Amino acid sequence: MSKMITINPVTRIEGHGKISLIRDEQGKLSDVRFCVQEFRGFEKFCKGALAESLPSMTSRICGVCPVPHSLASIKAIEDCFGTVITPTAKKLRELHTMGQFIESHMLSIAVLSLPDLASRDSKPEQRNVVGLYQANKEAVKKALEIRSLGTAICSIVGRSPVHPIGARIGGVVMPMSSAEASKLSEQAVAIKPSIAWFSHLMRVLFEKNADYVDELGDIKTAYLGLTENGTLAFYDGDIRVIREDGSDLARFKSASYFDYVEEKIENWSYMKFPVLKTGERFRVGPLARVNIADQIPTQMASNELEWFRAKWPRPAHKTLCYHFARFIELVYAFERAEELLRDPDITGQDIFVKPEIKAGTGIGVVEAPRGTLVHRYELDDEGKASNVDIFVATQHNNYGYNDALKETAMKLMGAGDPDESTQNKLEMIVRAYDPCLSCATHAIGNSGWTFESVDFNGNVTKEWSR
Amino acid sequence: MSTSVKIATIPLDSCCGCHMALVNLGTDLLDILADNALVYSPVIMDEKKIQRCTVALVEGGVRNHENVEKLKELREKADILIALGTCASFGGISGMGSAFATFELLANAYGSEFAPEGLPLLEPRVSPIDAHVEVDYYIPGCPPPLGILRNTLVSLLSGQKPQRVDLPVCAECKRTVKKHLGAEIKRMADNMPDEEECLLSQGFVCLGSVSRCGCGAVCTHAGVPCKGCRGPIDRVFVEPTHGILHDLTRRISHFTGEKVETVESRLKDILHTFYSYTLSVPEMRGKDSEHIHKLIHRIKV
Repeated sequence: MSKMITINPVTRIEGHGKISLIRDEQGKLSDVRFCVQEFRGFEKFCKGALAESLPSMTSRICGVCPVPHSLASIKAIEDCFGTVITPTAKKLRELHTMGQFIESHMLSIAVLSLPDLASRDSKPEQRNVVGLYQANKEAVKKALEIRSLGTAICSIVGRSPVHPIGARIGGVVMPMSSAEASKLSEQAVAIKPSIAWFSHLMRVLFEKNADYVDELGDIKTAYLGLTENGTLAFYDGDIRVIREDGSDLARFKSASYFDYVEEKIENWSYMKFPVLKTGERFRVGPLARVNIADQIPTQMASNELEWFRAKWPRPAHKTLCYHFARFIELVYAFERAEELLRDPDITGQDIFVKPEIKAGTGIGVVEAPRGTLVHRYELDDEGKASNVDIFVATQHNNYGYNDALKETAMKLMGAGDPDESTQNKLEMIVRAYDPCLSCATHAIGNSGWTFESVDFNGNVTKEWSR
Repeated sequence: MSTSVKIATIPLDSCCGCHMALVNLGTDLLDILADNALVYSPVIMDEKKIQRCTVALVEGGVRNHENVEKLKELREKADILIALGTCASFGGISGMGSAFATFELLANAYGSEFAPEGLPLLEPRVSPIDAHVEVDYYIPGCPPPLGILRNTLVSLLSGQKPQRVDLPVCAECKRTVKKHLGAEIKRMADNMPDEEECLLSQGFVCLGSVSRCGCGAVCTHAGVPCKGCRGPIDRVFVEPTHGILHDLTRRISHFTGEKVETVESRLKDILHTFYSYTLSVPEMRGKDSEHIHKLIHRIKV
């Protein structure tokens, strides 16, 4: 009978997940799965809600990336109502997005993953941000200082920390005062040296951990993400898909998402996964976006990209490269936020266009820190939701975790149970994607996950998926 | 701080937003943790087993039986257990799942053929954690406001009783009330509110007058009606003749001169407007003045 070993819970990630390592009757490792165990049912209980209730409700899917949920939700409603917002409102939403990227990316880098790279040989009980803080106060202080700019932007533009209220159907709730803009600008100027300091740290860490980068999650995939005329974009743009050799596979309007992506069943696991209709497996998120972008329109981020591409030519596939791509995006988000804060439009007073409530279907696509996020609603003539579908970034990377985990576990695991170091290496692969299982488990709806039934001896007795 | 306190944190059925609020305390949090000891916190550290601790912070409500087991184990091992945030205190947003039978929720997501086995089974309803274990303190909020979070933690870690607030959001809101006889109920979907006037008296459904303050009324100051994310004030919560819908429809009736029944008939969506954070509170469910007992899924025994 097959036997299963689990790493449960996977720690230093957002939400509840486990890794299952399954051996066949001969004791050979036959499968590796990343499973999610919770369910909240948002797509059901959001039905019947008035359009204006949806953004704040769906932002509660995730406390780590609430801003993209709120914005994708509003964009879907505006798509349905045919509302076109003002340039000031759009720029404030973009600034809000940059704040979220700084906040979320620095959380992933410093609090969740840095301990693996900076204290790789320390004991498990010290391998966390508290241990790191005791060993290297400066690094953690600078990381949190950079992150605090993101938190400040989200608090001011979002008008409330964590779950935002700043954006609304038709625009934003209030203009940004010039005092607020200059306060944020000053804070940005003050942390600029910390970004340069951190860039040095990231490069050193990547050189020091070159063996891990090479070894862990060595898979090749296609990549999908938003881009605006070939440059890195988070709030708006068209979807571009590149093949694993870097050539263009497709470019399309984000509203056509469902013409290009489908779910697939694998006969070895009954598991459904989002794949391209052409059959390719793809990944989303920082590495995907950095691979897709021809260039990044800001100076410091371009320098980081140049260093990165010299080491890992485009498209970079190594899973741990997600961390460096995440840092490149963080630098871009910082510079773009600085630019937006200098833009006279940002303090403009023209922030609202009166929407016209009407029935229809609306699709809202944004890049969340973890990848492409899609909200699709059907609204009735009172603007009440009759159908709610949410496709989160973490689901889009489903093949990514499973293929990378399988590749590495096959390589690293011998006949016995994996030791602590091997277990952590597998967890490092999961952390590289920075999965948000709050998102995946709570919005779980139309994309597939495999569930398994296990008897008291840990044997898999039944699996199923949808 | 000289005495070392052992701290544990756990997310149950939640979005991790309360953990983000903890992280937003920044170096204040790291200094607290450096002086004390974080012994279990799967979001932050690699310890896989629940450890004995002095203070346990629980984020999230109870949706499945694994949540119940973990919560009970943590209660046994913790001297002080704190409900962190509105989901732990009142069931929160996902408490709206209680409006449906679990098979309906699952069928919507996985198709009607779905027969869960081996997965953490869903409880018939979502519940706040005090439906399962004794809770020593509550820090409601979605997520809890930073100042309240910091002060409560610092008080508890130095052995003092934390301060409690029980005033409505109106106490922190600067807007002024006017009467508009015969006014209709307005919607945020196609209206921008006036900057000075009370949102409720303008016709927007604002839960500020029945909801707990401490947030600084950030929503209403930004022109966004309060959705009651810190839960109801004691009066609305405890007294049988008060309630969220009951008190608000009477207040709107007072502002507009319309009958309570007329006001209620104009409301388009009671569930998501009035009970988006409190549908799963057992105390609220029992109130005759409220609609919760009509909205919640009946469990047939």
